[in-house]
Amino acid sequence: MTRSLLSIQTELHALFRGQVELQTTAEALSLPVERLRIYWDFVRGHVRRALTQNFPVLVGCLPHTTFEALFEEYFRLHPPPSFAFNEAAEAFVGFLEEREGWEGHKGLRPGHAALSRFEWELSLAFHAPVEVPAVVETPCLNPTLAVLKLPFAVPRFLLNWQAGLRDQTCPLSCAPDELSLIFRHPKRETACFFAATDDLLFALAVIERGSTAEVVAEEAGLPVVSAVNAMRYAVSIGLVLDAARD
Amino acid sequence: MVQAHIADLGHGIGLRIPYADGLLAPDARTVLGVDFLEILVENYAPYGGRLKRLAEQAAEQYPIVLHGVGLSVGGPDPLDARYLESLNDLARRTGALWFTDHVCWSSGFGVEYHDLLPLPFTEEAASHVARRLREAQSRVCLPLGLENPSYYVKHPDAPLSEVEFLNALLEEADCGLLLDVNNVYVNARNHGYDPYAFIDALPAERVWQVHLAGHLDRGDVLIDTHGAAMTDDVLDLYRHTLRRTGGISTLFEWDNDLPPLSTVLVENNRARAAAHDVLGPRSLRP
Repeated sequence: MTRSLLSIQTELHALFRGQVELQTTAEALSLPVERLRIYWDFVRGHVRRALTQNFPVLVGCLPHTTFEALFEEYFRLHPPPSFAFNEAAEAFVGFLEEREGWEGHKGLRPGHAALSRFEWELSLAFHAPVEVPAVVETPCLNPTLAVLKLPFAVPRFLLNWQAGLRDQTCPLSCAPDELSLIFRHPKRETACFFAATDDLLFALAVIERGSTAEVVAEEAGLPVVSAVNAMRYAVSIGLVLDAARD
Repeated sequence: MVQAHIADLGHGIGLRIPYADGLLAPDARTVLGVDFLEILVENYAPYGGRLKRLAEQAAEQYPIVLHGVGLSVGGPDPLDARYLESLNDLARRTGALWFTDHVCWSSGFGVEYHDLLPLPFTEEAASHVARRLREAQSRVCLPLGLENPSYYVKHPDAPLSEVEFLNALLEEADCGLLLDVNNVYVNARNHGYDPYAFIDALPAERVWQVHLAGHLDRGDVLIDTHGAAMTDDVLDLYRHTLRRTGGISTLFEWDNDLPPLSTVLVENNRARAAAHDVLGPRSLRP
Protein backbone atom coordinates (compact mmCIF):
# COMPACT_ATOMS: atom_id res chain seq x y z
CA MET A 1 0.00 0.00 0.00
CA THR A 2 1.25 3.48 -0.84
CA ARG A 3 2.18 5.48 2.21
CA SER A 4 0.53 8.84 2.69
CA LEU A 5 2.61 11.98 2.37
CA LEU A 6 1.89 12.93 5.95
CA SER A 7 3.00 9.59 7.32
CA ILE A 8 6.32 9.87 5.49
CA GLN A 9 6.82 13.40 6.76
CA THR A 10 5.98 12.33 10.28
CA GLU A 11 8.59 9.57 10.14
CA LEU A 12 11.27 11.91 8.82
CA HIS A 13 10.41 14.61 11.33
CA ALA A 14 10.89 12.11 14.16
CA LEU A 15 14.29 11.21 12.71
CA PHE A 16 15.46 14.80 12.36
CA ARG A 17 14.31 15.62 15.87
CA GLY A 18 16.38 12.74 17.20
CA GLN A 19 13.35 10.79 18.40
CA VAL A 20 14.26 7.66 16.42
CA GLU A 21 17.47 6.22 15.04
CA LEU A 22 18.51 6.58 11.42
CA GLN A 23 18.44 2.83 10.91
CA THR A 24 14.90 2.59 12.30
CA THR A 25 13.57 5.28 9.97
CA ALA A 26 15.35 3.76 6.99
CA GLU A 27 13.73 0.40 7.70
CA ALA A 28 10.30 1.92 8.35
CA LEU A 29 10.38 3.77 5.02
CA SER A 30 12.28 1.04 3.12
CA LEU A 31 15.00 3.53 2.20
CA PRO A 32 18.74 2.89 1.94
CA VAL A 33 20.29 4.06 5.17
CA GLU A 34 23.37 5.58 3.54
CA ARG A 35 21.21 7.70 1.26
CA LEU A 36 19.01 8.79 4.14
CA ARG A 37 22.14 9.72 6.07
CA ILE A 38 22.83 12.40 3.44
CA TYR A 39 19.74 14.28 4.60
CA TRP A 40 20.56 13.67 8.24
CA ASP A 41 23.94 15.28 7.65
CA PHE A 42 22.48 18.14 5.60
CA VAL A 43 19.84 19.09 8.17
CA ARG A 44 22.32 19.05 11.01
CA GLY A 45 24.93 20.81 8.88
CA HIS A 46 22.66 23.81 8.36
CA VAL A 47 22.36 24.38 12.11
CA ARG A 48 26.08 23.88 12.59
CA ARG A 49 26.71 26.47 9.86
CA ALA A 50 24.29 28.92 11.49
CA LEU A 51 26.36 28.67 14.68
CA THR A 52 29.75 28.97 12.99
CA GLN A 53 28.60 31.96 10.96
CA ASN A 54 27.09 33.85 13.88
CA PHE A 55 29.68 32.91 16.50
CA PRO A 56 32.93 32.65 14.52
CA VAL A 57 35.24 33.64 17.37
CA LEU A 58 33.51 31.53 19.99
CA VAL A 59 33.49 28.45 17.76
CA GLY A 60 37.09 29.13 16.81
CA CYS A 61 38.29 29.28 20.39
CA LEU A 62 36.29 26.36 21.78
CA PRO A 63 37.97 22.95 21.70
CA HIS A 64 36.49 21.05 18.75
CA THR A 65 35.13 18.26 20.94
CA THR A 66 33.47 20.81 23.22
CA PHE A 67 31.77 22.55 20.35
CA GLU A 68 30.58 19.26 18.86
CA ALA A 69 29.13 18.15 22.21
CA LEU A 70 27.38 21.50 22.61
CA PHE A 71 26.13 21.38 19.03
CA GLU A 72 24.63 17.92 19.50
CA GLU A 73 22.70 19.03 22.55
CA TYR A 74 21.68 22.36 21.01
CA PHE A 75 20.44 20.68 17.84
CA ARG A 76 18.28 18.34 19.90
CA LEU A 77 16.83 21.06 22.13
CA HIS A 78 16.47 24.02 19.78
CA PRO A 79 15.13 23.22 16.31
CA PRO A 80 15.33 26.12 13.84
CA PRO A 81 12.15 28.16 14.20
CA SER A 82 11.91 30.00 10.89
CA PHE A 83 13.09 30.36 7.32
CA ALA A 84 15.41 33.20 8.39
CA PHE A 85 18.65 31.26 8.56
CA ASN A 86 20.24 33.22 11.42
CA GLU A 87 17.34 32.44 13.73
CA ALA A 88 18.62 28.87 13.89
CA ALA A 89 21.39 30.31 16.08
CA GLU A 90 19.27 32.64 18.16
CA ALA A 91 18.79 30.37 21.18
CA PHE A 92 22.47 29.48 21.46
CA VAL A 93 23.37 32.33 23.81
CA GLY A 94 20.79 31.36 26.41
CA PHE A 95 21.70 27.72 25.91
CA LEU A 96 25.34 28.49 26.75
CA GLU A 97 24.44 30.69 29.71
CA GLU A 98 22.50 27.79 31.21
CA ARG A 99 25.48 25.49 30.84
CA GLU A 100 28.41 27.68 31.79
CA GLY A 101 30.31 26.03 34.55
CA TRP A 102 28.73 22.62 34.05
CA GLU A 103 31.24 19.89 34.61
CA GLY A 104 29.63 17.92 31.79
CA HIS A 105 30.93 20.43 29.27
CA LYS A 106 34.65 20.18 29.52
CA GLY A 107 36.26 23.08 27.75
CA LEU A 108 33.38 25.52 28.30
CA ARG A 109 34.96 28.27 30.36
CA PRO A 110 33.56 31.23 32.23
CA GLY A 111 33.37 34.02 29.67
CA HIS A 112 32.35 31.90 26.69
CA ALA A 113 28.69 32.73 27.21
CA ALA A 114 29.49 36.45 27.43
CA LEU A 115 31.50 36.14 24.23
CA SER A 116 28.54 34.48 22.50
CA ARG A 117 26.22 37.24 23.70
CA PHE A 118 28.59 39.84 22.30
CA GLU A 119 28.92 38.11 18.92
CA TRP A 120 25.15 37.66 18.69
CA GLU A 121 24.53 41.36 19.37
CA LEU A 122 27.00 42.23 16.61
CA SER A 123 25.12 39.93 14.23
CA LEU A 124 21.79 41.46 15.23
CA ALA A 125 23.08 44.97 14.63
CA PHE A 126 24.43 44.03 11.20
CA HIS A 127 21.26 42.24 10.11
CA ALA A 128 18.65 44.42 11.82
CA PRO A 129 15.82 45.11 9.38
CA VAL A 130 15.27 48.58 10.82
CA GLU A 131 16.35 51.45 8.56
CA VAL A 132 19.15 53.73 9.69
CA PRO A 133 17.85 56.89 8.04
CA ALA A 134 20.15 58.83 5.75
CA VAL A 135 18.56 62.12 6.77
CA VAL A 136 16.94 63.09 10.06
CA GLU A 137 15.27 66.36 10.97
CA THR A 138 16.20 66.27 14.61
CA PRO A 139 19.07 64.38 16.26
CA CYS A 140 18.16 60.84 17.26
CA LEU A 141 19.80 57.64 18.43
CA ASN A 142 20.94 55.09 15.91
CA PRO A 143 17.91 52.74 15.86
CA THR A 144 20.11 49.62 15.82
CA LEU A 145 21.69 50.54 19.16
CA ALA A 146 21.98 47.83 21.81
CA VAL A 147 23.49 48.41 25.25
CA LEU A 148 25.23 45.37 26.64
CA LYS A 149 26.67 44.74 30.10
CA LEU A 150 29.73 42.54 30.04
CA PRO A 151 33.41 42.68 31.01
CA PHE A 152 35.47 44.75 28.57
CA ALA A 153 37.79 41.78 28.44
CA VAL A 154 35.25 40.18 26.08
CA PRO A 155 35.39 42.73 23.23
CA ARG A 156 39.15 42.95 23.78
CA PHE A 157 39.37 39.20 23.37
CA LEU A 158 37.35 39.38 20.15
CA LEU A 159 39.51 42.15 18.72
CA ASN A 160 42.69 40.28 19.55
CA TRP A 161 41.30 37.11 18.03
CA GLN A 162 40.39 38.91 14.83
CA ALA A 163 43.91 40.34 14.78
CA GLY A 164 45.34 36.83 14.82
CA LEU A 165 46.12 36.40 18.53
CA ARG A 166 44.82 32.87 18.95
CA ASP A 167 46.67 31.81 22.09
CA GLN A 168 44.79 34.03 24.55
CA THR A 169 42.72 32.66 27.38
CA CYS A 170 39.02 33.30 27.15
CA PRO A 171 38.11 36.20 29.47
CA LEU A 172 36.94 35.22 32.91
CA SER A 173 33.45 36.19 33.93
CA CYS A 174 34.65 37.37 37.35
CA ALA A 175 35.75 40.66 35.77
CA PRO A 176 33.29 43.45 36.50
CA ASP A 177 30.53 44.14 34.01
CA GLU A 178 30.80 47.36 32.04
CA LEU A 179 28.59 48.93 29.40
CA SER A 180 29.22 48.46 25.69
CA LEU A 181 27.33 50.22 22.91
CA ILE A 182 26.72 48.13 19.78
CA PHE A 183 25.16 49.45 16.60
CA ARG A 184 25.33 49.34 12.81
CA HIS A 185 27.38 52.17 11.38
CA PRO A 186 25.11 54.29 9.21
CA LYS A 187 27.56 54.64 6.33
CA ARG A 188 29.83 51.61 6.47
CA GLU A 189 26.88 49.35 7.39
CA THR A 190 29.13 47.22 9.58
CA ALA A 191 28.42 46.36 13.21
CA CYS A 192 30.63 48.35 15.57
CA PHE A 193 31.03 48.67 19.31
CA PHE A 194 32.29 51.26 21.75
CA ALA A 195 32.83 51.45 25.47
CA ALA A 196 30.08 53.54 27.04
CA THR A 197 32.34 56.38 28.11
CA ASP A 198 31.05 59.38 30.04
CA ASP A 199 31.04 61.40 26.81
CA LEU A 200 28.89 58.85 24.97
CA LEU A 201 26.56 58.41 27.92
CA PHE A 202 26.18 62.18 28.01
CA ALA A 203 25.24 62.16 24.32
CA LEU A 204 22.68 59.42 24.96
CA ALA A 205 21.21 61.47 27.79
CA VAL A 206 20.91 64.56 25.59
CA ILE A 207 19.00 62.61 22.93
CA GLU A 208 16.83 60.82 25.50
CA ARG A 209 15.79 64.15 26.95
CA GLY A 210 15.16 65.67 23.52
CA SER A 211 17.38 68.56 24.48
CA THR A 212 20.68 70.04 23.30
CA ALA A 213 24.22 69.55 24.52
CA GLU A 214 24.40 73.17 25.63
CA VAL A 215 21.23 73.02 27.75
CA VAL A 216 22.06 69.72 29.40
CA ALA A 217 25.64 70.88 30.06
CA GLU A 218 24.46 74.04 31.73
CA GLU A 219 21.94 72.16 33.85
CA ALA A 220 24.61 69.69 34.93
CA GLY A 221 27.28 72.30 35.46
CA LEU A 222 29.53 70.85 32.77
CA PRO A 223 31.76 72.82 30.39
CA VAL A 224 29.71 73.56 27.27
CA VAL A 225 32.68 73.04 24.95
CA SER A 226 33.23 69.53 26.28
CA ALA A 227 29.54 68.75 25.95
CA VAL A 228 29.39 69.94 22.36
CA ASN A 229 32.50 67.92 21.54
CA ALA A 230 30.92 64.84 23.11
CA MET A 231 27.89 65.23 20.88
CA ARG A 232 30.06 65.72 17.82
CA TYR A 233 31.97 62.59 18.66
CA ALA A 234 28.76 60.59 19.10
CA VAL A 235 27.62 61.78 15.69
CA SER A 236 30.99 61.05 14.09
CA ILE A 237 30.91 57.40 15.15
CA GLY A 238 27.28 56.94 14.08
CA LEU A 239 25.80 56.49 17.55
CA VAL A 240 23.75 59.65 17.15
CA LEU A 241 22.21 60.60 13.81
CA ASP A 242 21.70 64.23 12.94
CA ALA A 243 20.93 66.39 9.98
CA ALA A 244 24.54 67.47 9.63
CA ARG A 245 25.91 63.92 9.49
CA ASP A 246 26.86 64.07 5.84
CA MET B 1 -0.99 30.55 -17.55
CA VAL B 2 1.80 33.06 -17.05
CA GLN B 3 4.69 31.61 -19.03
CA ALA B 4 3.63 33.28 -22.27
CA HIS B 5 5.28 36.53 -21.21
CA ILE B 6 8.29 35.06 -19.41
CA ALA B 7 11.43 36.77 -20.59
CA ASP B 8 14.62 35.32 -22.02
CA LEU B 9 17.04 37.25 -19.84
CA GLY B 10 20.20 35.60 -21.15
CA HIS B 11 22.86 34.30 -18.77
CA GLY B 12 23.07 35.21 -15.12
CA ILE B 13 24.55 34.25 -11.78
CA GLY B 14 23.52 34.51 -8.14
CA LEU B 15 24.09 37.67 -6.11
CA ARG B 16 26.49 36.35 -3.48
CA ILE B 17 27.84 38.84 -0.96
CA PRO B 18 31.55 38.29 -1.77
CA TYR B 19 30.76 39.07 -5.41
CA ALA B 20 28.70 42.17 -4.74
CA ASP B 21 31.47 44.73 -5.17
CA GLY B 22 32.43 43.26 -8.54
CA LEU B 23 28.90 42.79 -9.80
CA LEU B 24 27.69 46.20 -8.70
CA ALA B 25 30.59 48.25 -10.00
CA PRO B 26 29.68 50.81 -12.67
CA ASP B 27 29.22 49.14 -16.08
CA ALA B 28 29.80 45.72 -14.52
CA ARG B 29 26.81 44.22 -16.31
CA THR B 30 28.37 44.95 -19.69
CA VAL B 31 31.99 44.37 -18.74
CA LEU B 32 31.38 41.07 -16.93
CA GLY B 33 28.85 39.68 -19.37
CA VAL B 34 26.23 38.99 -16.72
CA ASP B 35 22.73 39.58 -18.07
CA PHE B 36 20.69 39.14 -14.90
CA LEU B 37 21.00 38.27 -11.22
CA GLU B 38 19.17 35.81 -9.04
CA ILE B 39 18.61 36.74 -5.40
CA LEU B 40 18.03 34.08 -2.76
CA VAL B 41 15.06 35.21 -0.68
CA GLU B 42 16.35 33.68 2.56
CA ASN B 43 19.67 35.51 2.28
CA TYR B 44 18.24 38.97 1.79
CA ALA B 45 14.53 39.35 2.53
CA PRO B 46 14.55 39.24 6.35
CA TYR B 47 17.49 41.59 6.77
CA GLY B 48 18.31 45.28 6.61
CA GLY B 49 21.52 47.21 6.31
CA ARG B 50 24.04 46.20 3.71
CA LEU B 51 22.08 43.17 2.53
CA LYS B 52 18.98 45.24 1.86
CA ARG B 53 20.98 47.90 0.08
CA LEU B 54 22.82 45.35 -2.09
CA ALA B 55 19.55 43.82 -3.29
CA GLU B 56 18.15 47.23 -4.17
CA GLN B 57 21.37 48.35 -5.81
CA ALA B 58 21.48 45.14 -7.86
CA ALA B 59 17.95 45.85 -9.07
CA GLU B 60 19.06 49.24 -10.37
CA GLN B 61 21.63 47.57 -12.62
CA TYR B 62 20.22 44.16 -13.55
CA PRO B 63 16.95 42.36 -14.17
CA ILE B 64 16.27 40.35 -11.01
CA VAL B 65 14.66 36.98 -10.43
CA LEU B 66 14.05 35.57 -6.95
CA HIS B 67 14.74 32.05 -5.79
CA GLY B 68 14.08 30.30 -2.50
CA VAL B 69 14.39 27.20 -0.40
CA GLY B 70 11.90 28.13 2.32
CA LEU B 71 8.43 28.09 0.77
CA SER B 72 8.04 24.42 1.71
CA VAL B 73 5.41 23.97 -0.95
CA GLY B 74 5.12 20.29 -0.12
CA GLY B 75 5.13 20.75 3.63
CA PRO B 76 2.49 19.70 6.15
CA ASP B 77 2.10 23.08 7.89
CA PRO B 78 0.10 26.03 6.54
CA LEU B 79 2.07 28.32 4.24
CA ASP B 80 4.27 30.65 6.26
CA ALA B 81 2.68 34.11 6.18
CA ARG B 82 5.92 35.75 7.30
CA TYR B 83 7.77 34.11 4.42
CA LEU B 84 5.22 35.29 1.88
CA GLU B 85 5.31 38.82 3.32
CA SER B 86 9.10 38.88 3.08
CA LEU B 87 8.93 37.59 -0.47
CA ASN B 88 6.40 40.24 -1.46
CA ASP B 89 8.48 42.95 0.16
CA LEU B 90 11.66 41.88 -1.62
CA ALA B 91 9.81 41.47 -4.91
CA ARG B 92 8.45 45.02 -4.69
CA ARG B 93 11.81 46.48 -3.73
CA THR B 94 13.67 44.76 -6.56
CA GLY B 95 11.00 44.64 -9.27
CA ALA B 96 11.77 40.92 -9.58
CA LEU B 97 10.27 39.20 -12.61
CA TRP B 98 9.44 35.86 -10.98
CA PHE B 99 10.07 33.65 -7.98
CA THR B 100 10.91 29.97 -7.95
CA ASP B 101 11.27 27.38 -5.21
CA HIS B 102 11.70 23.64 -5.17
CA VAL B 103 9.31 20.72 -5.42
CA CYS B 104 10.02 19.52 -1.91
CA TRP B 105 9.21 20.17 1.71
CA SER B 106 11.67 22.14 3.83
CA SER B 107 9.76 22.68 7.06
CA GLY B 108 7.07 20.93 9.01
CA PHE B 109 5.57 20.43 12.45
CA GLY B 110 6.85 23.88 13.40
CA VAL B 111 10.47 23.11 12.53
CA GLU B 112 12.55 24.60 9.73
CA TYR B 113 14.99 22.12 8.18
CA HIS B 114 16.63 24.50 5.70
CA ASP B 115 16.89 21.60 3.29
CA LEU B 116 15.07 20.21 0.29
CA LEU B 117 13.41 17.08 1.61
CA PRO B 118 12.06 14.71 -1.03
CA LEU B 119 8.40 14.07 -1.70
CA PRO B 120 6.98 10.71 -2.70
CA PHE B 121 6.03 10.53 -6.37
CA THR B 122 2.34 10.04 -5.76
CA GLU B 123 -0.79 11.72 -7.08
CA GLU B 124 -1.60 12.74 -3.52
CA ALA B 125 1.70 14.59 -3.17
CA ALA B 126 1.37 16.19 -6.62
CA SER B 127 -2.09 17.50 -5.75
CA HIS B 128 -0.88 18.71 -2.37
CA VAL B 129 1.96 20.70 -3.96
CA ALA B 130 -0.25 22.04 -6.74
CA ARG B 131 -2.93 23.19 -4.30
CA ARG B 132 -0.41 24.98 -2.10
CA LEU B 133 1.39 26.52 -5.06
CA ARG B 134 -1.88 27.97 -6.28
CA GLU B 135 -2.60 29.30 -2.82
CA ALA B 136 0.86 30.87 -2.62
CA GLN B 137 0.36 32.35 -6.09
CA SER B 138 -2.83 34.03 -4.90
CA ARG B 139 -0.93 35.65 -2.02
CA VAL B 140 2.15 37.03 -3.76
CA CYS B 141 2.73 39.77 -6.27
CA LEU B 142 4.84 37.99 -8.89
CA PRO B 143 4.67 34.74 -10.90
CA LEU B 144 5.67 31.59 -9.01
CA GLY B 145 7.41 28.64 -10.59
CA LEU B 146 8.81 25.35 -9.32
CA GLU B 147 12.21 23.72 -9.67
CA ASN B 148 12.97 20.02 -10.00
CA PRO B 149 15.23 19.35 -6.99
CA SER B 150 18.00 16.84 -6.58
CA TYR B 151 16.99 13.93 -4.35
CA TYR B 152 18.90 11.05 -2.86
CA VAL B 153 16.14 8.73 -1.74
CA LYS B 154 13.13 7.62 -3.74
CA HIS B 155 10.15 6.43 -1.75
CA PRO B 156 9.87 2.87 -3.01
CA ASP B 157 6.15 2.27 -3.19
CA ALA B 158 5.29 5.53 -4.99
CA PRO B 159 3.55 4.66 -8.26
CA LEU B 160 4.71 7.55 -10.47
CA SER B 161 8.08 8.18 -12.06
CA GLU B 162 9.77 11.48 -11.27
CA VAL B 163 8.85 13.02 -14.61
CA GLU B 164 5.25 11.80 -14.38
CA PHE B 165 5.02 13.33 -10.93
CA LEU B 166 6.54 16.61 -12.09
CA ASN B 167 4.30 16.86 -15.14
CA ALA B 168 1.20 16.08 -13.11
CA LEU B 169 1.84 18.79 -10.59
CA LEU B 170 2.90 21.37 -13.20
CA GLU B 171 -0.34 20.73 -15.04
CA GLU B 172 -2.48 20.88 -11.93
CA ALA B 173 -0.70 23.94 -10.52
CA ASP B 174 -0.59 25.54 -13.98
CA CYS B 175 2.80 27.03 -13.27
CA GLY B 176 6.20 27.35 -14.86
CA LEU B 177 9.25 25.15 -14.36
CA LEU B 178 12.72 26.15 -13.36
CA LEU B 179 14.53 23.26 -14.99
CA ASP B 180 17.73 22.46 -13.13
CA VAL B 181 19.74 20.56 -15.71
CA ASN B 182 22.43 19.59 -13.23
CA ASN B 183 19.74 18.13 -10.96
CA VAL B 184 18.39 16.08 -13.87
CA TYR B 185 21.87 14.74 -14.49
CA VAL B 186 22.56 14.03 -10.79
CA ASN B 187 19.18 12.36 -10.29
CA ALA B 188 19.52 10.29 -13.45
CA ARG B 189 22.87 8.96 -12.29
CA ASN B 190 21.72 8.38 -8.72
CA HIS B 191 18.45 6.68 -9.65
CA GLY B 192 19.35 5.06 -12.92
CA TYR B 193 17.35 6.75 -15.67
CA ASP B 194 18.08 8.45 -18.97
CA PRO B 195 18.43 12.22 -18.45
CA TYR B 196 17.79 12.93 -22.13
CA ALA B 197 14.52 11.02 -22.05
CA PHE B 198 13.59 12.94 -18.89
CA ILE B 199 14.14 16.29 -20.62
CA ASP B 200 12.21 15.09 -23.67
CA ALA B 201 9.23 14.15 -21.51
CA LEU B 202 8.88 17.62 -19.97
CA PRO B 203 6.54 20.27 -21.38
CA ALA B 204 9.09 22.63 -22.95
CA GLU B 205 6.57 25.46 -23.08
CA ARG B 206 6.47 25.56 -19.27
CA VAL B 207 10.22 26.06 -18.82
CA TRP B 208 10.83 29.61 -17.58
CA GLN B 209 14.44 29.32 -16.56
CA VAL B 210 17.35 26.89 -16.43
CA HIS B 211 19.79 26.28 -13.59
CA LEU B 212 23.26 24.91 -14.17
CA ALA B 213 25.76 23.95 -11.47
CA GLY B 214 28.58 21.66 -10.51
CA HIS B 215 28.30 18.54 -8.39
CA LEU B 216 30.49 16.21 -6.37
CA ASP B 217 31.06 12.63 -7.47
CA ARG B 218 31.40 10.70 -4.23
CA GLY B 219 31.72 7.41 -6.03
CA ASP B 220 28.57 5.81 -4.67
CA VAL B 221 26.45 8.87 -5.26
CA LEU B 222 26.54 12.29 -6.93
CA ILE B 223 25.90 15.19 -4.56
CA ASP B 224 24.44 18.43 -5.87
CA THR B 225 26.93 20.67 -4.10
CA HIS B 226 26.86 23.86 -6.18
CA GLY B 227 30.53 23.94 -5.35
CA ALA B 228 32.33 23.13 -8.59
CA ALA B 229 32.49 23.84 -12.29
CA MET B 230 29.98 22.21 -14.62
CA THR B 231 30.89 18.87 -16.08
CA ASP B 232 30.87 18.51 -19.86
CA ASP B 233 28.05 15.97 -19.49
CA VAL B 234 25.84 18.60 -17.87
CA LEU B 235 26.74 21.11 -20.55
CA ASP B 236 25.77 18.58 -23.24
CA LEU B 237 22.45 18.02 -21.51
CA TYR B 238 21.95 21.78 -21.44
CA ARG B 239 22.53 21.92 -25.21
CA HIS B 240 19.91 19.21 -25.62
CA THR B 241 17.51 21.18 -23.43
CA LEU B 242 17.92 24.30 -25.53
CA ARG B 243 17.03 22.39 -28.67
CA ARG B 244 13.62 21.86 -27.07
CA THR B 245 13.09 25.16 -25.30
CA GLY B 246 14.84 27.68 -27.52
CA GLY B 247 16.46 30.67 -25.85
CA ILE B 248 15.83 30.54 -22.11
CA SER B 249 17.09 32.49 -19.09
CA THR B 250 19.99 30.45 -17.74
CA LEU B 251 21.64 30.83 -14.38
CA PHE B 252 24.86 29.24 -13.21
CA GLU B 253 24.82 28.51 -9.46
CA TRP B 254 27.87 28.41 -7.23
CA ASP B 255 26.94 28.52 -3.54
CA ASN B 256 29.58 26.61 -1.58
CA ASP B 257 33.34 27.00 -1.36
CA LEU B 258 32.99 30.19 -3.33
CA PRO B 259 35.82 30.78 -5.81
CA PRO B 260 36.80 34.20 -7.16
CA LEU B 261 34.08 35.88 -9.20
CA SER B 262 36.18 35.37 -12.32
CA THR B 263 35.79 31.59 -11.97
CA VAL B 264 32.01 31.85 -11.84
CA LEU B 265 32.08 34.15 -14.86
CA VAL B 266 34.03 31.51 -16.77
CA GLU B 267 31.20 29.06 -16.09
CA ASN B 268 28.64 31.64 -17.10
CA ASN B 269 30.48 32.13 -20.37
CA ARG B 270 30.70 28.37 -20.94
CA ALA B 271 26.92 28.28 -20.69
CA ARG B 272 26.61 31.23 -23.03
CA ALA B 273 28.92 29.59 -25.58
CA ALA B 274 26.91 26.35 -25.38
CA ALA B 275 23.73 28.31 -26.02
CA HIS B 276 25.36 30.01 -28.97
CA ASP B 277 26.34 26.59 -30.35
CA VAL B 278 22.70 25.58 -30.40
CA LEU B 279 20.82 28.80 -31.00
CA GLY B 280 23.31 31.02 -32.83
CA PRO B 281 23.09 34.74 -32.19
CA ARG B 282 19.96 35.48 -30.19
CA SER B 283 17.99 38.52 -29.17
CA LEU B 284 17.03 38.51 -25.54
CA ARG B 285 13.38 39.03 -24.59
CA PRO B 286 13.29 41.52 -21.74
